[in-house]
Amino acid sequence: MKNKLTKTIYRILLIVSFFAINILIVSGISAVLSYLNTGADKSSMLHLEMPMDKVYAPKVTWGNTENPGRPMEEPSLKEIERDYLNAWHVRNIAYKKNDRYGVADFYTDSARARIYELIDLNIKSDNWSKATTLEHFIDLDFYSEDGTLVVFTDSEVEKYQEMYQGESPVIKQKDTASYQVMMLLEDGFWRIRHLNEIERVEIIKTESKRDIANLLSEVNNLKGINYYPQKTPWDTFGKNFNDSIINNDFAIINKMGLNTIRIFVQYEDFGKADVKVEKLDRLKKTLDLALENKLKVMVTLFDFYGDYDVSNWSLTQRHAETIVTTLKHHPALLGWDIKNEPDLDFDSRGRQAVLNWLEEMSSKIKKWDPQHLVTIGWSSPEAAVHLANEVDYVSYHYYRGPEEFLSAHNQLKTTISNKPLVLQEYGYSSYDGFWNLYLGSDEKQVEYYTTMQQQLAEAQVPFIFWTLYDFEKVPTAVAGSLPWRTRKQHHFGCIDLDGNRKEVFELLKQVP
Amino acid sequence: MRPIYLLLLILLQLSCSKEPEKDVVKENDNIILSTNEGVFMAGQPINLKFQTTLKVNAQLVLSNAFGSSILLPEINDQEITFNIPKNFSRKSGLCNWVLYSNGKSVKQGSFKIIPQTNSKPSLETYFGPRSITAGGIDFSMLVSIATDPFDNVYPEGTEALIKSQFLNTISESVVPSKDFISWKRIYSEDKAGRILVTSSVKEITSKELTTIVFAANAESFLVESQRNHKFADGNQIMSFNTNVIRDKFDNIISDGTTVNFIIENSKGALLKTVAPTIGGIAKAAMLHPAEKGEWRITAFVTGAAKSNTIKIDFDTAITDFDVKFSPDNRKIMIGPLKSFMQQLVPDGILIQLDVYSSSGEYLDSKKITSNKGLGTIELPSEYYVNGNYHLVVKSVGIIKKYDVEIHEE
Repeated sequence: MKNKLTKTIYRILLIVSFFAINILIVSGISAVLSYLNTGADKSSMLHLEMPMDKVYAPKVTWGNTENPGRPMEEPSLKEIERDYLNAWHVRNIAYKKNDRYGVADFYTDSARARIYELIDLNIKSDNWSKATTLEHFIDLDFYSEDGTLVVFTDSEVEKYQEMYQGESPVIKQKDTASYQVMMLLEDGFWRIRHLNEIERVEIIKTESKRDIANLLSEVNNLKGINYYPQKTPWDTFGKNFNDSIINNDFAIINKMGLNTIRIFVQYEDFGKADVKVEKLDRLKKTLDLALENKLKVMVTLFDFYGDYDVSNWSLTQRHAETIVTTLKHHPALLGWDIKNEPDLDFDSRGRQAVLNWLEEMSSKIKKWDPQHLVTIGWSSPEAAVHLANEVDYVSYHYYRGPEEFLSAHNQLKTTISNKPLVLQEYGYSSYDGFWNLYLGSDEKQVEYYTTMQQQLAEAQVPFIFWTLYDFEKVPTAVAGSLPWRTRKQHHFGCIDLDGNRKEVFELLKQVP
Repeated sequence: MRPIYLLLLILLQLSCSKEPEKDVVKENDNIILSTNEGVFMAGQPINLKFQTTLKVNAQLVLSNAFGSSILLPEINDQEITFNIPKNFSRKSGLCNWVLYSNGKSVKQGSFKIIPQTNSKPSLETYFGPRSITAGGIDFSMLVSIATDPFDNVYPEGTEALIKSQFLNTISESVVPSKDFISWKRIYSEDKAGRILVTSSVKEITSKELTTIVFAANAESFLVESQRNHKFADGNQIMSFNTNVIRDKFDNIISDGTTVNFIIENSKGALLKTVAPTIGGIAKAAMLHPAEKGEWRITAFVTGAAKSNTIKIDFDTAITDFDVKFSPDNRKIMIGPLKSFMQQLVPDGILIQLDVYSSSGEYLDSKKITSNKGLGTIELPSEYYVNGNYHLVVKSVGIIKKYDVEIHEE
C-alpha cells in the first residue's frame, strides 16, 4: 500500500518535472529568438537622421539682422542659432563633467583649446559647475558674402550657474553678460571662433507691472475642487477629451456652490519644450467651459515632472512660457500652481536643486503673466514655509487626521502671516475593503468632512478638496502599484463609480 | 548726528543700491581690494590682492567668456593674493570675479584684459566666393582678422592694408577693423582672369589668395556645318560648330559651357545634339538622314545665348529599288538598295512593310534593316492565311504598293 503511494508520488513528480523542463526549454528558446530579432531593423542600414529631442532651449530673440556684408537668409539664421545654442550646451555639459566630449563639434581648433585648458584647470582644482543660459538677444553684425563667416552680438545673456568644489556647492550665481561672437561654417557646422565678453549692452525690455490685487482678494473666498473627469483621471487632455462630459461636471461643481477648480498639466504629456497644439487647445477649451459655468481655474503645471537639473531649465521654461503666454488673457484663469507637491522630490533630487528651480520658475511666470497668481502646491503645511516670499498665496495639502488640522494650520499661519493660506488638497477615501482591513466607509468619509468643513469655516480657510469622482483606473505613476496604496486612491470622490452621489456630496454643497 | 553725515549716509546707500540680483554681494568693508589696476595686457601675470585684518577662508570665483573656475589664495599675513591662471590672464575681454569668504560672497568686481599688441600679430584671412563672373557686378569678399599671440582679436580700429592685383593694376586700401574684422569687397572687372589678394597688419602679411574671374554670360553666336556630301544616305556623319563664343566684354566663355544644337527636320521632328565648348568653340556631330529633307539648325547656350539658324538640304541618295516576291508571295525581297553612285548602301537602312487585308484593314507592320543592300521579309502561314492582301513597302522615303494573293505552294 505504502509502496504504491510512493510510486504514485514518484510518477506525479516525474510528469510534473517533465512539463516544467519542457516549459523552461520552450520559453528559453523563444527568449533567445526574440532577442535575436531585436535591434536589427533593416532601416538602420540607411543611417537616417534621427529626430533628436530638444536638449537646450533658452529664449532667443533676434534683433537686427541687417548687416553690411550680405543679406541674411532665414534658414541660415536658424542654423546659426541652433549651432550657437549647441555650443553653449556642449560647453555647459563639458564643465559639468569636466569632459571634452562634443566640444570639438561647435568650437574651432583655437577656441576649443581655451575650453580644454579650463577643463584641465578645473580637474586639477576639483571644480565643476552646472550652468545654463536662459535668454539671448542677438543682433547680427556681419555675414560674409560666401556665407561662411558671421559676427554677432549677444546682449544681456541671462546666465545661471552653480559652482561646486568636490561635492560641496560654492556659489549659486545669476547674472547677465554680453558677448561678441564670431562663428565659422566648417564641415556643415557653425563653430565658435572668437567669443569675447564685452561691456554690457543695455536692452530696453518692456515689463508690465504685476497687478494681482483683485484676484488675491478672491482667494479668501475660494471654495474649490481638484478636478479630473471620471473616465480619464490623470489624462484630462488626452485622446478621450470630451467637452460635453467636462461641461456636465463643471455644471455639477457650480451647482455645489463651488467657485474654483484645480486642474493638472503634465509636462511630458504636453510635449515638454515644444508644447503640443492639440493639448493646448483642449486646455483652452476646458477654461472656456469653466468660464461658462462661472468657475475660476487654477492650472497646476509640471505634473509628473521630476528632474530639476540645471541642464534642462531652459526646456521647462519654454514649456511654461508657451502655456502661460497662451492662456494669460483667459478670464477664467485664477493663477498658476507651479508644481504639485515638489517637496516630495527633496530626497531624490536634492532640496536645494528643487527650490532653485521653483524660485527661478516662479520669477519667470510672474514676468510672463503679471496679472495672475502664482503658488506652489506643497504636500504638507510644514513644507509650505518654503519660498513663501516667492508665491502670492501659500498652498498646502493635508491628508492626515482632521483633529490635528487646525493646530498645523495655525502653526503655519504664525510663520507666514502676510500671505493668504489655501488648503489646496485634502480628502478622505471611502474605500472599504481587504487592503485597509475594511476600516474605511462612506460614514467615515462623512465624519471626516464634517469635522474638516467645520474647522475650515471657523478658521476661514479657503479650500480645494479632493475630488469629484471615484475613479475606476488610477495610473501607477500616481500612487505606485501596491494595492494597499493604490486602492485607496480610487475612492476619494463624492460621486461613486456608478454615478451615484455619496453622502458627502450633500455635505460639501456650499451655501451661496 | 549731524545732518551732513545723514546726507552722506543716504548718498552712500543710494550709490550702493543696485538692481536686486539673487546672490547679492554684501560688501564687506573689512576686506579691501589692494590691486588698483583695472586693465591688464593679455599674457601679463595678474595677481589680485586683498587686505584684511580678519581671518578669512577665502575663495575667488573667476569667470570670463569661456567659463568659470574657483581659485584658492595665498595668504601672507594680512594680505590675500590670488594668482590668476594663465588661461584667464591670456584671454582678452572682461573677466569677472566674486570673492567668497567663509561661503559668503563679500566682494565682486571685474577687470579688463586687452590684447597684447606689442608683438607681431597673426593674421587670418577668409576669401570667397572663389569664382566670380566678369563685368564689375560680381565680387569676392576678403575678411581679415588680426590676433595677438594668445589668439585675442586686435582691438577695434586696427588698420589692415588690403591689396589686390588684376592684370596690370594693383590696388590698395586701408580698412580699419570693426566687429573683429576688416573686410573689403573685391569686384571683378571686364576681363576674365585671376584676382590675387593679400592683406597685411603691422608688416605681417597674409598668404596670397585667389579668385578666378570667369567670363560673363555668352552673347549671340554663329553656327555652321560641314558635311562630305549632300545625300541623305543615313551613313555619313556631318558636324556642326560654333564660332568662338564670347561674353559682352569679349571674354571667351569658360571651357565646358554646354551648347545644345537643336535640329528641326522637314516633318517638324526635333533632333538634338550637345557639345561642350573648348576655347569658346563647341563641335557636335550628327548622322545624315536616310531620306530627302531639309534641316534647320539653331544652337543655344541655355539661359544665355542663341545662334543664328542655318538651313541644310539633303538630296535623295537612293532613287529606286526593286521588290521581288516568291512564287507563293510569302517571301518579299527588297533591294538591292543602291546609292548615289550605284554603290550598295551601307548596312542598316530601315525597310518597313505594312500589311493590310484586301478590304483595306490594317493588320501589321514589319521592320527590318538592310544587310548588304538587301532585305527579306517573310509572311508565315501561321499568321497569314491564304488570301488577298494589300502590301506597302517603305524605305528611304519611297513607298511601293502591291496587291498580292498569298497561297500555299
